[in-house]
Amino acid sequence: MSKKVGVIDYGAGNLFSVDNAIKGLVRDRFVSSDPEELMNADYIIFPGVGSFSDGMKGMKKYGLDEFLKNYVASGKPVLGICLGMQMMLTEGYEGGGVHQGLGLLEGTVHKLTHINNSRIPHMGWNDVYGNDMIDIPIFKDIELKSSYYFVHSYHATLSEEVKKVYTDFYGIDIVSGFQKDNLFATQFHPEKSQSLGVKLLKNFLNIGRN
Amino acid sequence: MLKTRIIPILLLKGNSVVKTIRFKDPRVVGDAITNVKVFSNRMADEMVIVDIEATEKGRINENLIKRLSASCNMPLSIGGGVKTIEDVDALFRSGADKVVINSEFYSNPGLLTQVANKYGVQSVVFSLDVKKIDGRHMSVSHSGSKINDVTALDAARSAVQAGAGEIILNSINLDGTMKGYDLELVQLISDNVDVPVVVAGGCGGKEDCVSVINAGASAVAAGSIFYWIGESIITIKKYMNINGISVRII
Repeated sequence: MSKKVGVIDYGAGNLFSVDNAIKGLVRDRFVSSDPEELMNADYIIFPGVGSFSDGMKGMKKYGLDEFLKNYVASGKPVLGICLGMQMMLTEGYEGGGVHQGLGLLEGTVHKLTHINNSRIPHMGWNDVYGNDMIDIPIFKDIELKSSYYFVHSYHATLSEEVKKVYTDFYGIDIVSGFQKDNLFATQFHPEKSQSLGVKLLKNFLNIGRN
Repeated sequence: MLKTRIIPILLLKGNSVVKTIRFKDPRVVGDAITNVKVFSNRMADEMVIVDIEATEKGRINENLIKRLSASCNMPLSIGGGVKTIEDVDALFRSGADKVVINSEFYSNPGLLTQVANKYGVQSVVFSLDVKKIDGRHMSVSHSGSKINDVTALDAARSAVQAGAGEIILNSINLDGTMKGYDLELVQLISDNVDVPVVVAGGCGGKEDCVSVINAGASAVAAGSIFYWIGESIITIKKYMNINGISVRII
């Protein structure tokens, strides 16, 4: 059975890179802003760069906020990347003031704080770890402390118990990924993380198939 | 722990990669797509790609950039001739993760703010070219041809204030000389900004990579050592690792 992968286009993001990273994994894939078209996908990738407030504006403009809630409720897998992950939460503080997120998971998005001579943005390769890693299917056969590429200034704080992984930011553990049922997310960019990134995307696109 | 990045810099001229000395005399070192593939296979942590003809020709070579991005899946900072938000849009559409802005900053610092608002601070890279003149580090633009009346430090500070999320610091005096980085300059800039500082210009071997990090650089950028002396990313990383610098080793 062929699988169909939809990549959400809400006007911001590295869609080219996502498409490039999955082109060797799946033939039937498309990038779209159209909720109806996206609803036909078996898997949704929700990428993003840009600010939380602008991202949410784009999502609302195309009715993609409602779409994603419905899609998640259908039980099919969704992978949020970077800003995509952040917008899944209740609210975010990027772009001045507080902005409502999609509320698919309880949590907030705040700016990273300067500690221990940290440099912000958090930019570069960093390790992913945590006791839950082995139980999250997108990390199947990926070793603890594998390095992925990060580039962000804001980070997620979850207030709901879900399976999650962490990354060390100058001595502080930040959440770098999570799973809530069919909802998956990474703060890092698998589409930019060379072979280990492709492996993660492959794992995601195999969910429900083995 | 965040790994120290090793970043090859690729200067484009047409479809070729060139290497300069003190920003002059570009010599062809290979085909652009081949270079991207090779550095990607050798596990470079990121790549900086700058089209040095873009300003002069008044165009962004979207077609080539797309082909380069499609040849790898790794982080790419792309620049050359970036003047407007439309140029930036074109680069992001073509697979850039960050855009590199140099000359335009000096006449229009607001461009950095505009890009930061649209794509986030993390996607704005300010390329700070520096020339040491009478003992002072001055900012230079237009491929090294225009010396600005602004010190390197002032330029760095105002670029960060305008929205730069990273600085690529390049010493023109040392570019392509392989005599070692300007550590005094590295310290001056990295001590006074809190965004990552990628340092280029002068790397002559793996020892220089260690000393530049110890001087405060967040990442090491180089060109010549990969082309002229065949130093590999892997041997550099191994050397950095035994010297206590955390790197991504595959």
